Amino acid sequence: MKKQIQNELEHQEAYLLLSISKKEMYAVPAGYFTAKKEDLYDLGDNEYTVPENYFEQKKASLVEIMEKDVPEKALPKAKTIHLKRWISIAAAVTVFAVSIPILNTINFQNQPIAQSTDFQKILNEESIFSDDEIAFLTNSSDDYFYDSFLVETASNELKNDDLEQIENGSYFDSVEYL
Amino acid sequence: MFLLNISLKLASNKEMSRQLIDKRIVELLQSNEPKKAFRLAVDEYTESIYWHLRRMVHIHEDADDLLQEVFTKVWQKLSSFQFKSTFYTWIYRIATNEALSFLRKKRNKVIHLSTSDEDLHLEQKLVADSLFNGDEAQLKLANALNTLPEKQKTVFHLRYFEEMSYDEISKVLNVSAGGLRSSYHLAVKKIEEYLKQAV
Repeated sequence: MKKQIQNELEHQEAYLLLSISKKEMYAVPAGYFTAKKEDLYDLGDNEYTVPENYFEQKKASLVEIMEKDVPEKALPKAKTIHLKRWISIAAAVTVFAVSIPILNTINFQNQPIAQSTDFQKILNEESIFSDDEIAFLTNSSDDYFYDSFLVETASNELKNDDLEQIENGSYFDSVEYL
Repeated sequence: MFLLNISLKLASNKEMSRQLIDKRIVELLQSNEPKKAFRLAVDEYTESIYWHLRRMVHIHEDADDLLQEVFTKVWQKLSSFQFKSTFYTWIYRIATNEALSFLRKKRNKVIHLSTSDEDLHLEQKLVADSLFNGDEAQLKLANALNTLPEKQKTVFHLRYFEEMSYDEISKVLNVSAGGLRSSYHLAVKKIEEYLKQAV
């Protein structure tokens, strides 16, 4: 009782402090609560129903699925992870082994022909080239042809016909190299 | 003192009547008659829960939607009611949580307004609302309440309008009664200051 009086006094104190009427400041449409209560009763009346023994049957079927699935799924999962790891390691080793000769081939193909060891071997075996020519050819084959062309044009002075042939691309057919 | 005595007697009668109804609801639940228990709860609590929601959210349509939500939850959870608290504090707890959650969602949706803009916004809404009967002082009170932090506002509502004891509020909000007491007094002071400035 003492507690209740204390509560009430505190409440009265707040009420006096605010000096505001406690009359309800909000209103509701006419007949709202009667209609609302009818609506709310419906919540309790419209119960959802399930077929007879639905939950028992559902539980039994779920337990059955669990019993079937658990042993089959648990073990292969672990194996799959294990195998996947070995497959990826084996694949990495194979790729590495195969890539070495391929990389070598790519290197050879990218090397200028004149600088390749095979080309030098051929030149050495054929006796028609002197040592100086071989050295010149293996130095830069493009420069060799270009320089010889310059020598040709400088020594003989190009004629008008020659210039035309050069432009046509047929000049090189008729030029005699050194 | 005379007024205080009358007020205490009325409060006491109201309290007793509520306790009897709660006892009956519990009995019906224990005897596996949830439909009857629910109907009794609707009869007893529809109006008080509505007013509690309305004072918190201000607009009738919002309060109406929330009332529906609250009783839907009550019906869904009725079977799991564990009789640890009274039915009264349990249903108020559901209602308060629904209202707070609604206000949080609403606040997140609205583009940030300054406090004075918010006051103006609420004042305009209430003045335009045909279902607002309050006088100027009550309009100011609604504005003042709107400036309070969420916790203080809720405590003030339950104590001032619902006239709940601190023990009951502590069960609704799951906060210690001592903390609630200081929270309520702080709210009263703030409202008082706001009203002085507004006048």
